Amino acid sequence: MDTKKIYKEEFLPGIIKWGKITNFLGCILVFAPALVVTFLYGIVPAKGPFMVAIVAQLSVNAVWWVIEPVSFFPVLGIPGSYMAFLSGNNSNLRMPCAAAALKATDTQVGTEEGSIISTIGVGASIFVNIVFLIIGVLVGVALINVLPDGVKDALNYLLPALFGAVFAQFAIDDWKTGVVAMALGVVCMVMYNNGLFNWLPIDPFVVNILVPIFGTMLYSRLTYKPAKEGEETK
Amino acid sequence: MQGYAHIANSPALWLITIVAVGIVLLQTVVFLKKCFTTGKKIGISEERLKTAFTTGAISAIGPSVVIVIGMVSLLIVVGGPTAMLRLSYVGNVAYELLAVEFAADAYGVSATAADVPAEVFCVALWGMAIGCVGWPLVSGLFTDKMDKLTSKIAGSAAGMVPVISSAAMLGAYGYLNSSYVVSLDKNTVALLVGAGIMVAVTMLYRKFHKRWLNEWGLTFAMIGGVIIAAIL
Repeated sequence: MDTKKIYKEEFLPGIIKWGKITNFLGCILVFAPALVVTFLYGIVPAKGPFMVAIVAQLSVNAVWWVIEPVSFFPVLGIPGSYMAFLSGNNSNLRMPCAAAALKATDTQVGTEEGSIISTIGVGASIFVNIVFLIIGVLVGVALINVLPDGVKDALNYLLPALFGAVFAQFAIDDWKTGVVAMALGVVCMVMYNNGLFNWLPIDPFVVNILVPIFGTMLYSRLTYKPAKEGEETK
Repeated sequence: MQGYAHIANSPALWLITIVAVGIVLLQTVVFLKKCFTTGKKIGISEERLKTAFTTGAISAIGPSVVIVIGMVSLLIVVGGPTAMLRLSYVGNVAYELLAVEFAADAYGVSATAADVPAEVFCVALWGMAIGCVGWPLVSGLFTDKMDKLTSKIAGSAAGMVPVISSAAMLGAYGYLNSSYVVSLDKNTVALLVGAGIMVAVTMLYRKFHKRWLNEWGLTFAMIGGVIIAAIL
């Protein structure tokens, strides 16, 4: 079986080259609108408010720069990671689509096959998302006015329903790990809400994120028993 | 945003948005082509590859609706090109409106007021850019090395990587779910209903092997969760 060889030697090098080029290009282009408005249109913000806003923004985003790529990598694989982190909307769109594609095709996470299947799921979501956004930008504000308030309010529940469903998809095959993950998440959140992490020298919210992710990984490593012969390969 | 509307909707910003979306699409097309050819080579059937694509596309509909709604509220304050750019390119619907609020707060004004100064718009653009540059940067720098990290955490046992992988996923969503669980309100209901429907759909699939069940499962769970949470 030379699946690994084809994947590693024929497939990955091209993906990594393209991925690096497009994502680094992405890093530069992300600043283009701000640069144009500041220098072409000459709107130069005062330093004080600028710093206040940037610091506030970084305090909510920056942790995720590292946590998402690390914790989503096993599911997205190399090509899927490049795509998801260039196109954005990861936990609420790319990951659910990758997970759904894996489950629908009975593909195991973290394998060569898995990385190809989840990348296809992510790719499909990019097309759909862009089509929706184009429609949205053309129809614009009229779209919001057409929707009754009840529908708009109800859509707030879409994210929790989606997150619950994605979680269930994975927990169903390994409910013990699922229980551990959920318990760690909830316990940390309750402790955080009661200020029990405030003694930490870092932003205590990070604990809420790191403990469930790495705690669950640790749990599954400690309780892992190698599958019996023949059970693993199907 | 009357004062800066002509800048916010200027051709220059539209051009940037078109180029950025073009890069995303180019990358997607190149990667998908490679995935389909390599997929067939390593023995994934055409049918499974297609199912992966349709499932991804169908599952994207619900979340995309939420993103579009977010974009429209963003569009009102930052204009069409920026709203479109932020939600198809590196951004996240949860952070972009925050960027506008942070900028408005820093100037002591309300983001939705009619006379928001143009500086607020400019600071929001910088906040969005600096706030999200880390994602393509970290993934550009480290994605190809991430394999080693996973295998390090997984240790020597061969079957461990998939197990650790789904544990990471469960942990991440354990965190994402936790705030909805402890809130003990309609969000909790939506979460539980979504999870319950997903389990039911998976069970049904395992019994009847109807492909559409799998393809639409996530969408059913979302719709069910939303409806039940809303009417309760």
